[in-house]
Formats: sequence, structure tokens, C-alpha cells
Amino acid sequence: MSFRNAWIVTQKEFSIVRLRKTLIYFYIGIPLVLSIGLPLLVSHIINGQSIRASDIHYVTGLMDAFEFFFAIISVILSSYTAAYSIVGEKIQKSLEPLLSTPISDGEILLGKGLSAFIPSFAAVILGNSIYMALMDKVSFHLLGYYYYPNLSTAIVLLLLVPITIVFSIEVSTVSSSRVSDPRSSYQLSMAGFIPFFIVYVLTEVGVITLTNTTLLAIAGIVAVADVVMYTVVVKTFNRDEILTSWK
Amino acid sequence: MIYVEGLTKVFGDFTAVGDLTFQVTDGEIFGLLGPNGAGKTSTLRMLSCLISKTSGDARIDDLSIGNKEDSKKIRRIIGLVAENVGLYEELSAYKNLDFYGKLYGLTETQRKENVRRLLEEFDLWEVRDRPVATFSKGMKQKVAIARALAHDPKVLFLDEPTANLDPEAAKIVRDLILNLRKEGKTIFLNTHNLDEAQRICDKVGILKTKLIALGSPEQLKVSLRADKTVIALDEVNDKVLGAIRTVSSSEIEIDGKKLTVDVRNPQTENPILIKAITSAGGNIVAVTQLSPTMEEVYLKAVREKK
Repeated sequence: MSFRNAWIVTQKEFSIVRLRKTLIYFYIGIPLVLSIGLPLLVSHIINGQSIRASDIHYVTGLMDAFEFFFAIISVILSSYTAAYSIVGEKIQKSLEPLLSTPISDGEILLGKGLSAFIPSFAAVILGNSIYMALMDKVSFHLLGYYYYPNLSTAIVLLLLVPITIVFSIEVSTVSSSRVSDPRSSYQLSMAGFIPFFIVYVLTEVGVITLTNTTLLAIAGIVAVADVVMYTVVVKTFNRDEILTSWK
Repeated sequence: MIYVEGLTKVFGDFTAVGDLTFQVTDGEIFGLLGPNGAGKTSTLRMLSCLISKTSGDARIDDLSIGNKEDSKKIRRIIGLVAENVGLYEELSAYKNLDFYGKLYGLTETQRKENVRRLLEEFDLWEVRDRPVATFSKGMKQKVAIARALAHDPKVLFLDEPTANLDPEAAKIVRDLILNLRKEGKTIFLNTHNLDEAQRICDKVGILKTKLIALGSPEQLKVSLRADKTVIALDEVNDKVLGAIRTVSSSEIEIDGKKLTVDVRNPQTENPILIKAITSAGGNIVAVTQLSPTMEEVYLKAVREKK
């Protein structure tokens, strides 16, 4: 496996992404809405009530759930790019000439994966940085200390988000082999979003609490799912399959 | 350059290509003809290491297709123009070629030189920065051929390169192919344009899952014995027709005062036919020998296979 070859594919994907303004707005818009909207929501809750000890517990719980939100948007962002990247090749029928070059199937996949991973991860990190700064500003007078950054943030951003993006790219790759329209592929890829959304809902209704242990357990499950999906992806993304079985 | 023996591709219980054997020598244009679903694209894909072979032996430049290491080396010495041009429509012609140059490991200087030379040669230099999406079909096909040549391959595989092109664009592409032969490239061409095969191919194979005919266009015409003799008479009557039928078992086409007879060997059969007609009182005005078109050769081969 040559990283150089994979990076050539990534650079080509970036040149195409740069020309698709909607993708750029998508990467900027979603994290920005969350990073500003969520602190505003918390600010509204805090300012609308007199402060009690139970409020502190409620607000920190809310902030932990919101932090998890960034793992969810990493699925949304990466699925979108990955789906467009692979289905785009299908629509333009450019996979056949690409596969006739000395590049391997794995290098193409890695290149495309990186082109979805890098902007998604960067957008989440940047969005989360703004979120943490604003959230600390609005919650300081309630908590008396800066809540962020903390260990949960590190687990979410440096462990859960990267492996979630990998999972999402894998789901997108497999779904892209079954359809020939980016929207359908994206909708199918969003199946990867469902388990994370369920965890979020369970947190909101108080069934689970997003402690560091819970986050590590979720990360463990996602890591296992990554490995399982990888075997499916390798089987799906090979030249014989692409040229003879892909729709 | 290309050596194929017993090459077979089976998908499940369907044989797409069966027991294919042929050779293409250096600097030759080889045309693979056949109806839709005959296995032309599967053959091209196997030879360009895109899909695996089920059995048989195939080699390019003494490198074995199917061997993982050799397949990688083969991909470095071949260029492919697929049936669909498969260009990145948002990107410019220059960027499309530059991307492929990078994949083949060319240095920046080599890429600049090669891309410029090809785009100038194909009359695309002036529009190099325009997105390919704005190009006509003919221009896109030229970009696709230029892209396949970006790394100066020894062998070029072309899958239906003139399909869906208007006659002018098709001629430009054919001229490009002929120029590439002059440069010493070996060209493997899939086509069902028989006229094109006749005009530019040195050797032709007719494929219908199996190879049913192989040779130069001229050799095929001789081997398939598809010559016709047209005899113009001042009057066609039953006596004349009866006389022809006594010396020839071929079907006789009658068009007014013209008779067309299939002949296997014009040199020996024509004098016999003429003698039979004159003996029956027929008055011959003219005798014309028709060489078969590639279409007739092709149809004869395919029908005989049926």
C-alpha cells in the first residue's frame, strides 16, 4: 500500500470538493449552527431560571449530551462526502480508467476515505472549539469554573469522532455500491447515524448517562463495528466486484 | 506483444469469453469485432488487468496477466480508453491528464512535458483550463485518449472509441489511432464499426464468446469466401437461370437484368458461369467482381457460427 498513491487520489477529491460550493457550505454551516446554537440554548435555560443545585446537574448533563452531538454530526458530514465521492465516480464512469492504472483498490479506498475524513474531522474539531469556548462563557457564572475542555471532550473528539467517521465512510462505501445516485447513497449511508441518535435520545430521556466509562464503551462498540465493516468494504470494493456487480 | 491462449471468463454459469487464442505483434492494430454481448469488453478488461481471468494464459510484453506482481507492471505499460470516457467533468482537461500522470509516477517536469505535448497534438491546448463538462463528445474522446497516453504506454486498449461520435469526430479519432501506430504503439481496438475495422486494423478477430474468425481483413474475405460476381445480361430467363444452377449451388440474387452469384473462387468459377450462360443463349453485357465488405464477411462469420 502506497500512501503517496492514496494521497494523489485525496488531492484530486479535494480539487473537486473545492468546486462544489454546497459541500463547503455544508462543512461550515452544520458545525457552526451547533457551535453557536447549543450555547445559546443553554444560555437561555440558565438565564430563565433561578440557580439551584439540581440545575447545575441538569445543565452539565445537557452539555455532555451536546458534546456527543459532535460525534453525530461527524457521521452526517463524512457520509455526505464519501457518498458523493464514490457515487460521483460511478456517475462519471471514471472508475474503470482509474482501476486500469497501477494504483491498488486499497489505495483508491484510502484516498477517498481520507478525502472524507480530513474535512469532517477538521470541521468537527473547529466547530467543537467554538462550542467549548462559547459554552464555557455562558456556563461559567452558573458552575463557577470552566467546564471545557475535560476528559469527556478528549474521549469524544480524539477517540469517538475519528472511529465514528471511519464507520460512516465504510457504510457509505458499501451503500454506494448499491445505488447510482448520490442522494440515495447518502440516505442509505445515514443508516450509520441511527445508533448514535438512539444513544443521544436515551441520554436525553435519562436512560443512560454519558460518563467517561459510557463513552469508552460506545467507542469500543464502534471500533468493533469498524473492523466488521472493514471486511465488508474490502469484499465490496475490489475491481472484479466494481466492474461486474456494482449497479 | 500480446499473447493469448485459451483465455476464458465465466460469470457464475455464464461463459462470457471462451477459449480465446490469438497474438498481436508490436506496432499492430488489432480489432476485435463482435455483436453486443459477444465478450469484447470482458476480453479487454481481462487483458488490461481490470477483471480476473477464469482460465487460460495471457501475456503482455512477456508479463503474465493474473500474476499479481506482473499485473501491476502491465498496468504501467498499457493505456485504456474505456467505452465511457470516464473523465472528471468538473476538472479541466489539464488536471485530468495531470492526475493520471501522477498516478503513473511521472515527475512534475515529465507531466508538464507530456501533458502539453499531448494536448497540443490533440488540438486541445487552447482549452486546457476549461472544465471537461463544457467539451463536445469528440473533444472528450480526445481527452480520454490523451489521458491514456499520458505515461507513454506501449499498448493502448480502446473500447468502442468512435461509438456515439459524429462522422467528423470519428474520423479525427481514427486518424489519431493511425498516427499512434506510426509512433509504434500496439493498439487493441474493440469495435462493432466494421468499416472502421477494415480501414484501420492490421488484424481482425470476430468474437462471439469464442473467436470465430481471425486474420487480416483481406485474409478474412478470402477465407470466408464471400466474393460475389455480378453478371449483367440483356435478358434474364429461366433457361439462363437453370444453366447457372447446374454449375453453381449458390443462391442467385436477381435485380432486373443483373444476376449476383456468390462465388468461392472467382478465378475458376467465373469462366464456368460465363460458359454456362452463353451456352444457354444468354447475352452477357458485363461481368463485375464484387469484393465483399467487412460487414458481409462479419455477417457471414456470425451466421455460420449460428
